[in-house]
Amino acid sequence: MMYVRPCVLDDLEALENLAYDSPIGLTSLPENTEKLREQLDKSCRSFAAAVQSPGDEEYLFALVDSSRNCLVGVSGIIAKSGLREPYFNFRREQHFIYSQSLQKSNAMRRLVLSTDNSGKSVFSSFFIGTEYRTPANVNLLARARVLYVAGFPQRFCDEIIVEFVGITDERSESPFWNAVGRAFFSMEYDQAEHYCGMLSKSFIGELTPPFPIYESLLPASAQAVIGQHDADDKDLLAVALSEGFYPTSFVDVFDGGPCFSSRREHLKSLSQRMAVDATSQLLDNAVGLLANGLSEDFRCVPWHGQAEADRLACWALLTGAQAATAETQPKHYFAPLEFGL
Amino acid sequence: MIIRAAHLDDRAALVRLIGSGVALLGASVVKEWRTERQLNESLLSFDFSEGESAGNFIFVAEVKGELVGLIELQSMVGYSFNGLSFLLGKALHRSDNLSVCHEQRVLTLDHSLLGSGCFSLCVVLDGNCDVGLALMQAGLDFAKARNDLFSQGFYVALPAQSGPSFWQAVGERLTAIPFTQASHVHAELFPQSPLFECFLGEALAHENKNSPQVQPLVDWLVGLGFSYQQRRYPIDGGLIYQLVSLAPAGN
Repeated sequence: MMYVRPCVLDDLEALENLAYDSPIGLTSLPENTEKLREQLDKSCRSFAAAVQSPGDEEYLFALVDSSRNCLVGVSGIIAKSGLREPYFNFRREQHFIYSQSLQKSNAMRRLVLSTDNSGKSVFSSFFIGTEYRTPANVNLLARARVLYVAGFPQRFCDEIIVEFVGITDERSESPFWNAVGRAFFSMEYDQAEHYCGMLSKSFIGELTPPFPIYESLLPASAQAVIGQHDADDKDLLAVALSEGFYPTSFVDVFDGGPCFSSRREHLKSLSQRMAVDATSQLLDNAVGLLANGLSEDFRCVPWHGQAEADRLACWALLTGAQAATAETQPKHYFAPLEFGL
Repeated sequence: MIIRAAHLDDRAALVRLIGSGVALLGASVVKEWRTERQLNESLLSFDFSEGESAGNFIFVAEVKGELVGLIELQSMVGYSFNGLSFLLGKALHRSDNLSVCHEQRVLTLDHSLLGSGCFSLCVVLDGNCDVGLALMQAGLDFAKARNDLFSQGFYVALPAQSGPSFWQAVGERLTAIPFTQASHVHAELFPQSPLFECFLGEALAHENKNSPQVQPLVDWLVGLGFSYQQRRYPIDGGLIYQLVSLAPAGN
């Protein structure tokens, strides 16, 4: 059975393997053991902390194949962006210049460096190894975060964003980076990504000009990928859209990938969740995700009206985790899915 | 050759000259030039302009009763005739975190020529530079005599060596207007924030170069005290030569 749980320190080796397989644009998963260890440590402390309002917490979730007892995917949540370092995006604007002499206007799309997405929660670090990248697993790992947020809304901001990796060409080069990033950063894309993962992101604000960049001056290849996502993320985008995320005017500074946003309370798995227990009849023919209401021992499993034995296994997984740490019965949440798993 | 202010009777001859002559200056102004309107405004400017007022002044060169050239001066540029120019500067990209520092050139549209005088247009038959220089000399003499109108300096935007390539790299990409249709006023559709060299392709490749055809004019301007102050004409990227003051030294 596939299920989602918080990452633990013992996941380091598996996480490292995933980081090396992940695409270049996924800066939140650096290919560096020490950095990953720090991230794991921080995640463990975040899950364990008694949080009253979002702060410097970062949560990492593991997608686990229980039959092989191995970690096959990872996703994350940054509780509040922009606290320790600036959170940069390009804001895409439509700028009009009017000429009185000509009695006409000129509309130009432009990119302006922005920190407007600071102070929001961020769904980050999503990656599943190729072998396990199925629609069901993408659904499970992506939506499990929403069910965790549902159980602990006080840990997260009112607005949640999610960014998608932008388009790279057949040589794994980003046309957007080649046109924009290279000009201002004077370095290759992977080097900038490396600095992003290892150092403070404040260098982005130092090297990117404070003036607008006019899209029409960029090469056609760069213009074409602004706000476009990598084809491999089509499944993840579908999940985000069905959750209620909507496209914004923000794009990634490095690869021009799109940024989506949603009010926390509008997320579908959150707003449509139901409190259930093992005897709830509404689970009989339902399809969706089932999660316990714990933090450190959070578990989320797919539910599709399965056979009795599988049901028992699901409940054992959910309640087994809770039995180890909680004497009281926490709530369990069920989030229905319209299109199945 | 007689050089004099244009009058109403010159209208038909001016139309012919504009149609058949060569623009030594202001090739992009010709496209929006309406002879009757410009002539009427010039007559009013000669009659009524005083102090710091915006106006245009047309002079013609006449040989044996035939108009062989015209020149138009603008006073108080910016209030009627736009005085937009690109200032060529530099931007510094520096990160203390990464210990890196590099620079690149930028073009910034601005209004710093506001209030100056300029030659907006000079058209001569057969591209005769001698006629052009004579008209410019007469124009400058007029400007010096009317220092009340031209007290904030004077400039001349020379035609670019690069032809349409500057417009194609900058103006056309910003406005989607092809070079053949681009006129002086289209600079008003440009953004006023800096444009970075890295996005301008070949637009800055001909920096500080004048075409051999305009070198006599450059020599003449430099001899009069004009100098290049890192300003480019926004339509074709031609170099702009400026004179801070037309008043004689010590005056």
